[in-house]
Amino acid sequence: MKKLVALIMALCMMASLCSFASAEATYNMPELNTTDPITITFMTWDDFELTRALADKFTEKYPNITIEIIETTTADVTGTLTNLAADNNMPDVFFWLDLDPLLANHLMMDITTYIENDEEAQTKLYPSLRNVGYVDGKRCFFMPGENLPAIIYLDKAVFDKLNVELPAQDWTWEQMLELIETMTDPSQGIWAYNYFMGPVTLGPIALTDNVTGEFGWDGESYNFGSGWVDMMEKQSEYARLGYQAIAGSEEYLAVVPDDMWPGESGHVAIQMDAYWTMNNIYTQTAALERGLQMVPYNAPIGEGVENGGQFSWLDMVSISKDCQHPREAYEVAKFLTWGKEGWLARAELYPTITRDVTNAETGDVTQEKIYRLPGSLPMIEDEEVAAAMAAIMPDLGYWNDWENFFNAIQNPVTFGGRTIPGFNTFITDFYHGSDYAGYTGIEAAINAGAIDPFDYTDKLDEAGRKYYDDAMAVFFSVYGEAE
Amino acid sequence: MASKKNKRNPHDKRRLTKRRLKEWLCGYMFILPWIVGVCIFFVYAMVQSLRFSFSNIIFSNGITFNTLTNPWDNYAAVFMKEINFPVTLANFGLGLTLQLPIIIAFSLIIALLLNSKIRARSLFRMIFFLPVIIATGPVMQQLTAQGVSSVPMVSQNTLLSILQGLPEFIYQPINDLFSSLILILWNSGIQILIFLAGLQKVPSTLYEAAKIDGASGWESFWKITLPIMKPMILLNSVYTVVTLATGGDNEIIQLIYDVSYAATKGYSYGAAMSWIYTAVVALILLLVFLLLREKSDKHVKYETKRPDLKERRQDA
Repeated sequence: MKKLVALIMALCMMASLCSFASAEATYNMPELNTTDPITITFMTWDDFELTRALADKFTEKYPNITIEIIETTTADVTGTLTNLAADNNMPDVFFWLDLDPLLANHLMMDITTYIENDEEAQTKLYPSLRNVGYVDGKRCFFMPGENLPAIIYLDKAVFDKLNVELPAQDWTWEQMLELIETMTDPSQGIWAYNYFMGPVTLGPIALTDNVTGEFGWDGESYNFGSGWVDMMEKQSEYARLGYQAIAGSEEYLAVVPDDMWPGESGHVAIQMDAYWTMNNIYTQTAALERGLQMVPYNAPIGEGVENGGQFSWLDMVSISKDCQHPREAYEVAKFLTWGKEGWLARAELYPTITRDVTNAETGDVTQEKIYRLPGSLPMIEDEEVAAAMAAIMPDLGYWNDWENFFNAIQNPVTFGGRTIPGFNTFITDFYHGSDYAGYTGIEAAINAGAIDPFDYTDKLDEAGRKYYDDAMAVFFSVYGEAE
Repeated sequence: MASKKNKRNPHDKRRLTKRRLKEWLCGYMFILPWIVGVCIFFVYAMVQSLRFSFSNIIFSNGITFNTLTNPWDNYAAVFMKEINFPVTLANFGLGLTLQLPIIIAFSLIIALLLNSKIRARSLFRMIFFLPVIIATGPVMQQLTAQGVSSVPMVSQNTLLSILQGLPEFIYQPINDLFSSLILILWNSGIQILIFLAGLQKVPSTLYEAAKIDGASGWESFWKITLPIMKPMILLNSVYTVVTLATGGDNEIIQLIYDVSYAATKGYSYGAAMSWIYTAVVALILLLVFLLLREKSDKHVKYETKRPDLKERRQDA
């Protein structure tokens, strides 16, 4: 009997092992047309020269597919898209900024088949980006297109002046707050921090478990009780206690008479800003000559927070509902945005690509390098891409730890308006637009000390969810229910 | 009919003489580009916008018009659901009430100064008109970003402390006014030009006569200049209201843009809101017209009346 039981158990184990083996993901990506001539229109606001060069690299690989680039700007993109849709002339692949008009006007194609059968998408995309395009949790309508993370710049020169050591690249949110609370030194004309996107925006993402959007959004509801209340109070307190450098204030003008932007003044220890500031300001001669030594850090995540996020300006990309060659369009979108091959091509192009610059006086045309740093950052976990990118990052002289920087910056979460239906209306109407104790907008009321943010968390959660439900009702009425 | 035509008085001003036809054609030729532009880019868009506002449209495979159960639904929704609209509209009205007199008074004062006999008058005129050209582009955005829109001597913080006790709906427009005072005055170039054109048409004989009668400059301004400039004040007020109502930094325009792209509202809703806003602006314009209209054209008649042949012969 014992033998029989042992035999049955052994058989069961074998069977379960077999079932595990067979449960391994299989990918049945539809075949790509590599013979018929196909033209894919691609609308972007990214640098034309880079996009053109990438498109040419794609056509080298697939000679039958030509990419036609339609240029737009971030300011015009939503209007341009609706105009093109009204003219029945949508681009096959397009970048966009606001999710709501795309939902309401049925502009995006359901790309679930492609994304779920793409091994690279399922295994290499940063975990926080794998499900980003699933509007109703079942169907995917968009992919990440460009990753421009929030960066916390720590001025090494200021840290040295105050004899404070720079933290490790895998620092935590609590460490950052501790630095903000201890680094102001009025006797030396130093403020602890200044921000472009402050703790109120970054905090709720960094301090909420399994976050997927702003204000602690987890895919179903907002969590204003998690992070937002504390960060509203902290942000307000930091300004009141003088930790924040406030341009134009009497205290600031006494130290910086020309009222220069605090982040560039050399009097701020921590500047909460964006990736592009490195390219636009901190690697420029003017900033370096002033002695700025800005070390880039990821937006930190709270201690003990599971799958907390790091705020990033993520731009999204979709395939038009009317696209005649969706499989090929998907390949184009992937190559020109997050795909590994595209990123290896970018690593080659970023250091070398130039732009024609015409001298206004002489009319001479010269070639000018476009990038000191890559224009955006990768969205996939891949050693080859990481190595190629680390190799092209400049040695700043005072700092060169790009490898650890890349390792620490792999959980981007973006603006609510890009991923949460109804978010923009909620923010415009309710968060910034409603009356709170005589003030328009809740932040204005809190900053004036008129209300306690804690009293409003439930109301905000409820209102946010209602705006989401209303927008989803529109989405279902336009796109129908998932089968 | 032919005999009736022959019986017409040859001095009848309504008669279409060859010369009048030529003048008529010439006038219309001058405004033809404007008429064509309005028909192509304005009238069509307005009609389309009106159609949008009475339906529920979707931009997919072209424009899909979905009929509403009640065609006025979008208009009703704007009044019933749009919590920000009345507030933003009231702020606009309050801001306009504060800005309009400042712009008109400033333009008139500058025009009076530029009309006086000073050296390098043309240079000063150019300087005051230059911002109109500069303001139409990225230069203005850069200047605004660098803080040129506020008066440097007036610290925002000082203003804040003075006005702190006031309710937000009063404090906010005053604060906005001071923070963009330079910008408002900067945008007075066209108004100055119109006033200047008006001032140059005031006959100097009137001032001379007034002077002989013992009138001071102050009295001359109130009794001669201002009454003659009244039609120009109306024209400038209309121009200023329209400029402020359609400016890029206007909050209502931004709100209309936002609702047009909101999932739960959309283009039709935005179009309805635009038409309500248009009606409100039209009402404001009507109010401005009623307040500033010229009840009698006596001053204008004096200037525009063409001396008849008999008078000219007598003069000769």
